[in-house]
Parts: sequence; structure tokens; C-alpha cells
Amino acid sequence: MRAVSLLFFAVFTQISWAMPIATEVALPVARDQGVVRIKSTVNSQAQKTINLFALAYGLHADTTLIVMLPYVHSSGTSGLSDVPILLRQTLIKSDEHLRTLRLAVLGGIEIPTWHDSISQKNVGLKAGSVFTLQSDRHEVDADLIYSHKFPSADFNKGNAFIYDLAYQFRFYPWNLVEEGASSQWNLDFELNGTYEERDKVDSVEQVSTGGQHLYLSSGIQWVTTSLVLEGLYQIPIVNQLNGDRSFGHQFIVSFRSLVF
Amino acid sequence: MEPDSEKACDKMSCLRDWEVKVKKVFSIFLLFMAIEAFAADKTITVQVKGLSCPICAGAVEKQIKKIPGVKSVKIHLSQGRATVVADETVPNEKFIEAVTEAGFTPGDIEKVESSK
Repeated sequence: MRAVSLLFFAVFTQISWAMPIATEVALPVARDQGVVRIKSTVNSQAQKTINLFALAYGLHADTTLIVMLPYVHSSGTSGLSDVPILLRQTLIKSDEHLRTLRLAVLGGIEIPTWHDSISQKNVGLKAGSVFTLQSDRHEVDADLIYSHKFPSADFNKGNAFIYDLAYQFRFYPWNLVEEGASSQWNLDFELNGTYEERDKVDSVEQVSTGGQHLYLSSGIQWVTTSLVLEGLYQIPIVNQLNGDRSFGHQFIVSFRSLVF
Repeated sequence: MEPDSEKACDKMSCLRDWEVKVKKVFSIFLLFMAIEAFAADKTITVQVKGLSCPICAGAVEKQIKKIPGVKSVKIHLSQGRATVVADETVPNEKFIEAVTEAGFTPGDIEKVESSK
């Protein structure tokens, strides 16, 4: 069950609106526009599927509001898990022809739904930064996010760091068409890691909680002027969870679309 | 009898007033239609720096299309430019604003042509 909560945690933070499939990105949502994302993450070992519905809304050209609704199916139980609400602010932007560099900060809260076995039951705060460099057919994204949990009466979920590094490569079309903006195919390679402290019950650390894991991920995506379809396969290359636990391979499929 | 005939006259004059008003409104409507029909369109290109993916191009296109008076927008990703057909009356600042609000950096605006 603790492995499940770690998987959970990783998936919550892995929202994105532009190119990388499992990581945060700095590319903005335009003012008064929105992006909806429906993402399914399936972990066969944890016997868990997380269906995420997310909306990102552009409050300003450089400020985006993100609301996520994760619905979890897990061995005999299902329900809405904790709801993250984040703000992302672009701090540095450098645009040239076919090239952009962005640095953004993000922060927000995670509201527990108190669902029996799905919610982490602690209010959370998230803060982090996101970097994007995109140049014609290449894109690199990196993010680091800290998640702090406020203890409830007798339970304190472990604080955590989440980090991602992604590289994307446009392989079709090799050269952009002269006129218009045709759809394109990208290959995606990512490292997605999490380090989590042990949970505490009545101030006592729980042995089989926390730890770290790192996924090596590869995927493909189809991008048009209005939607993105993508799939990612994740293999655990570092699996150092405390206690007798391990992470299995994981699949992500996702659909994103511009709205408003 | 006289009061009745006065009332009848009043009714007639009311009808005439209404006729005049309707004619005025119709004339104004026709004038607007004529202005619309003969108003010149302009075709311009706006440089959009930082564009390198189709969905970003879609976001810029949507933002420019929100400007009243814009008739069509086409984004050319490889050129980093948007070609816009709009009423001549739409100020260029609106295009700069739209590109900025889409999260990208606007560059030069060039007028390609005017047409009726």
C-alpha cells in the first residue's frame, strides 16, 4: 500500500501542458485559454490505475492556474484522490525564431479528499521550478518540486522531492513545411524521480514507507494545432523503497486539447 | 366632431412621424451595410518569436482570432509568422497584444496588401 501511495504521489505532480509527457513544463497557456488533459497511468505491479482530469487556465500570459482531479482505481477500491491546485508563473522568457527558453516557478496546495484508502489525508504544499529550452526539433525540460505535508491529528505523510528531466526530438516532419503548421511526431525520453521521507504515525516513523525511485521513460506523441495524443512506457531503474516494496513498469496514455 | 377630427389628425401625424423614424433607421442600417461592404481589408504578417510546435501555433491563432475585425489567421511555423486578414481599422497594436497574451514575443509587423 505504501508503494501505491508513492506511485500516487509521482503521478500527481506529473502534469504537463506542452511537450514532455510525464513532467511539468514552462511553456505557458495563453491568457483566457485553457488546456484540458485526460491522462491514464497504469501500474500493473501496484494494480492501480490513476485517471487524471486536469485543467490549466491562462490567467495571464505568464500565469497559469492548474486544477487536477485524480480518480483512482486500486484493488477493490476507487475514488477521487487529493486535489492539487497550482499556480505557475513564468519568470524568465527568451524567444527567438524557432527557439524559446523559459524558467518558471510554481506553487500551490493539495487538498485531501479524506477517502479511506486513497487520500493521503494531509494538506500539502508544493513549490518548485521548471525549465524549458526548445529549439526547432529539440526540446529539453527539467523540473524540481518540493512537497510538504502538514500533519493531521496522528498522521504525517512524508515530505518529498520530485524531479524530472526530459528530452524530445521531432522526427516527422524532418523539416518544417514552408506554409502553415502541420502536425508532427516526437520521440520522448525522460527520467522521472521521487524521493520521499518516511510517514509518521503518532510521531513514530513507519518502516515500510518512503524511499526513492527513478523511472527511465520513453514515449511518442502526435501533436497538432489543437490536440496532443501521447503514450509513455516507464521502467524503474532505481528502486530503493523502504521495506519490502518495489515499483513495477508503468504505462501512461494521455490526451490534451486546447479549449476556450 | 371637431375633437374627433383632431384626434384623427393626431393619428395621421403620429403615423407620419413613425414613417420618418423608420426611414431614418433603415437609412442608417443601409449606410452601415454600405460601409461594411466597401470597408477595406488589410493583410499583414506578424512575426512570432519562440514558436516551435503546432499546438503553440494553434494557441496564437486562437488569440489573434479573438480580435474583433479579424477575418482569418494562418500561422507559418517554419517562418515564425502569422498572416492575418483583418479590417483596415484594426490597429496593429492589437496583434502585438494578442501575441504577447498568447505567451510569445511579437516582432515586426508588415503590411502585405489592402483590398476592398
